[in-house]
Amino acid sequence: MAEIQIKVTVDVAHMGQMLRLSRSLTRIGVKVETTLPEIGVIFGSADESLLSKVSAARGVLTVAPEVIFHAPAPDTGEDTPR
Amino acid sequence: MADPTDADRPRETGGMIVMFHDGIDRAAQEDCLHHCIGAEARALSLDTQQPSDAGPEVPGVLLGDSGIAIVFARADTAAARTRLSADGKVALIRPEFWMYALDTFQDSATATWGLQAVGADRSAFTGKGVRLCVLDTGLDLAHPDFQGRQITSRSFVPDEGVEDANSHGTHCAGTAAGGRSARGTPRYGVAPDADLMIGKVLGNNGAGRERDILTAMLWAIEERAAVISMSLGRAVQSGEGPSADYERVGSLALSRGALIVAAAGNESVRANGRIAPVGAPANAPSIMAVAALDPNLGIADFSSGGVNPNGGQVDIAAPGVAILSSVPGADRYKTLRGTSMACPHVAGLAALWAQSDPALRGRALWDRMTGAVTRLPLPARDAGAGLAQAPGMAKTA
Repeated sequence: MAEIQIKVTVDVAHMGQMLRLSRSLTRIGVKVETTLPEIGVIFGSADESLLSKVSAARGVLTVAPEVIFHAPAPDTGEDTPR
Repeated sequence: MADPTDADRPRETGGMIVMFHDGIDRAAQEDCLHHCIGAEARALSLDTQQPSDAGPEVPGVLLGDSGIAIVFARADTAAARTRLSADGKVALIRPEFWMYALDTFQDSATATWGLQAVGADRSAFTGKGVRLCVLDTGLDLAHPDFQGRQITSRSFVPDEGVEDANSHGTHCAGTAAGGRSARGTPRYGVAPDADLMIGKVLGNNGAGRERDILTAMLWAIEERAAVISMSLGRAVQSGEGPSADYERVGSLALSRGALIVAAAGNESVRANGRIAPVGAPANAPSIMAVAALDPNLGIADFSSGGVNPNGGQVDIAAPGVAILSSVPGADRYKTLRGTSMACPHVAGLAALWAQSDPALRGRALWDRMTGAVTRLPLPARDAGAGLAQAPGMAKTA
């Protein structure tokens, strides 16, 4: 399977243990790249096949592929300048 | 569009509206009016008559078989109210109000229609001293309308500087806090004296990673921005709830005195009956979701609606069609549409409110803004509380 970018959201009870969680994810095979302890979020990359293992790790609330956000306005068209 | 009577709204005519209980026949209604407001009171046949046909001596009229009567201002309304209140046949007595045509806006020589609609062009507040952060595709730092401004900027996009080669960010920043126009175009910035912060989170291709966006949101909070404007997002599925992480950062922001506003999304095609749900991150309950209005103050065809549960509602609405603002390049100005354009109107207004009262930060700012709207004849699903307004500009009728 392919390596993908993932976002791991930590449950509230484990937000004070971000370092321990990062280590746990690393042991599973996640390459931890960005940690945001203020909101309990860890970004990294991992083989898609590891998602269920990451999801089952203690303290993990959700894991999902990282989403790309867009500036939506140009999609809706442009009004005629006046 | 300034109307000198706006401050007086709602305006009473001096007359009264009276409603009778169901089941009271017309003869009894007429007897009641004769007794309470005068023997000259008349019943109108609505197929041929209207209240203005009543003669000058008539103190009030019964509107056909509707069970509704109008007591004119020329009657002794105080005495009539006393007598009507004591009559068991009467269900309701209330003042009669003037009604007004709904506003239609267009750009003038001095201000865009958007600024007129939200009252920013008539406000004494300009956002001075308030930190307003726009998270988008960056800013054209060479644009003449931003020269001389103290701007804090940072790029969170790998291998790209703050400079905006897309134009979306410069347009949004212009609406929120653009300065005086250098080319004789109307004023288009809601809060032209705000302390502008620019966080580039979307690349010049208009796309950005969540990690960079969340990191930038935390940066803006840490840098004590009072307002954070996010004209970006992604569509969500029907029934999909908000992400815990965006709710956490929204909640953190409110607790630290910052208000995050976000575009509701442009995925609706209302002409075809499709109302798409408010997208992420605007669907987080602690992030203010902004819908887009057209110059007739109708909901824009593309504007996403509050059709998902758990916080996915629209909170407020603002101008988002035919919005003139700044762009990079030789043209310097362009007219765009989208909830992306509505969002920075609300962000700029938040800066005006924050300037008006230092206590208005975070949740208090949210509550004041959603409480001081001009209500619209639109469902809350589409426009939330109503049209966002500058301090003191809300119309109540």
